[in-house]
Amino acid sequence: MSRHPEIEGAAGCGPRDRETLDHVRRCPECLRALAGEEPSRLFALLSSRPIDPAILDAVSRGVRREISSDAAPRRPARSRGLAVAAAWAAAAALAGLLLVPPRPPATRASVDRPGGRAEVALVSSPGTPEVVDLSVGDVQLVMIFDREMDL
Amino acid sequence: MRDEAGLIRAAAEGDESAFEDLVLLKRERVVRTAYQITEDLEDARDVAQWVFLRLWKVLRRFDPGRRFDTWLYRITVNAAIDLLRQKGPRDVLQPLPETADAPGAASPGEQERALDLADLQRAFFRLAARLAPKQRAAFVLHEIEGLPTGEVARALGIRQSTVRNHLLQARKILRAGLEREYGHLVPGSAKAADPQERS
Repeated sequence: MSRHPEIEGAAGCGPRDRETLDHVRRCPECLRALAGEEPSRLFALLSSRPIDPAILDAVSRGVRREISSDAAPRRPARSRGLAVAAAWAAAAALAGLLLVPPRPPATRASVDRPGGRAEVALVSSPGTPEVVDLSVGDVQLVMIFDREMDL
Repeated sequence: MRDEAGLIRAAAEGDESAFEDLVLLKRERVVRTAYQITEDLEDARDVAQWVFLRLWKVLRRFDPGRRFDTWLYRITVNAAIDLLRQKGPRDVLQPLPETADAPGAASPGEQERALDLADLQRAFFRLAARLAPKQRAAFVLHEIEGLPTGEVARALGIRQSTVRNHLLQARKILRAGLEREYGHLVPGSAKAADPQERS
């Protein structure tokens, strides 16, 4: 390794090749020239490190597989977990809606009294909680009875 | 294999085999760029895969009058920054696995003097975590991938003056960190001369 390549081509910008960067990495003179004024230019050498071919092949394989199945591209990894969680939550909510028995019709009673008619309705099914809607004239009172409720 | 422009044209018309060749041509730089931003090879692989699938969907919209690589870097950097933001604070670093040296590898004596790239990578991850995502992306594209500032500006969708400012700030932070914490990597520094001081 006696020849010293053009350092300007090895960092900052412009054409560069792995052979040049490899030389710079191994040559103290070139390294000093590269990092002399700006040590952070040393990081340019990171482009000379080859990526594990297994990772690159996995990219090609994955792309080929998805294209042949003509699937829409999915966002990368981290969001996939969230999407799966969201799908499970949506499925659970839907299952909840389908499995909960339909609410029985509200139980109603009415009383004629001086000053107006009083309406009382048990809106929810008996159990916990129970909601009673009491209307007297223009006044409406909603009462919720729930043993579990912590006030 | 056809030339790059031919591959892009054919792939844009739906030629799967041309697109596979294009992936082969570009995959390393896409993975490397994503890796320098996400710090995780598995994430970088996922980003690259997503980028190429996205590319397959939108390639017919590519304007041949523009630089393809800039467009590709733009998609890559955006996907990698999105992922980086989702990951939140970074505390686990995964250095590149050791790979065989390129042909023409140095003798053991030369190897001792050579800058250790795994060490340099660790230093970069640790110090670059102090940069804002766009500063980091600008530095990766300009200093590691070798793009001129005009191309970096187009890839990041920002003005060239902003890129220069990002680079200035990034260099300042990285330089200070290198000198303070990784002096043994910097040739000519006191710590480089005295390996005993390595931390």
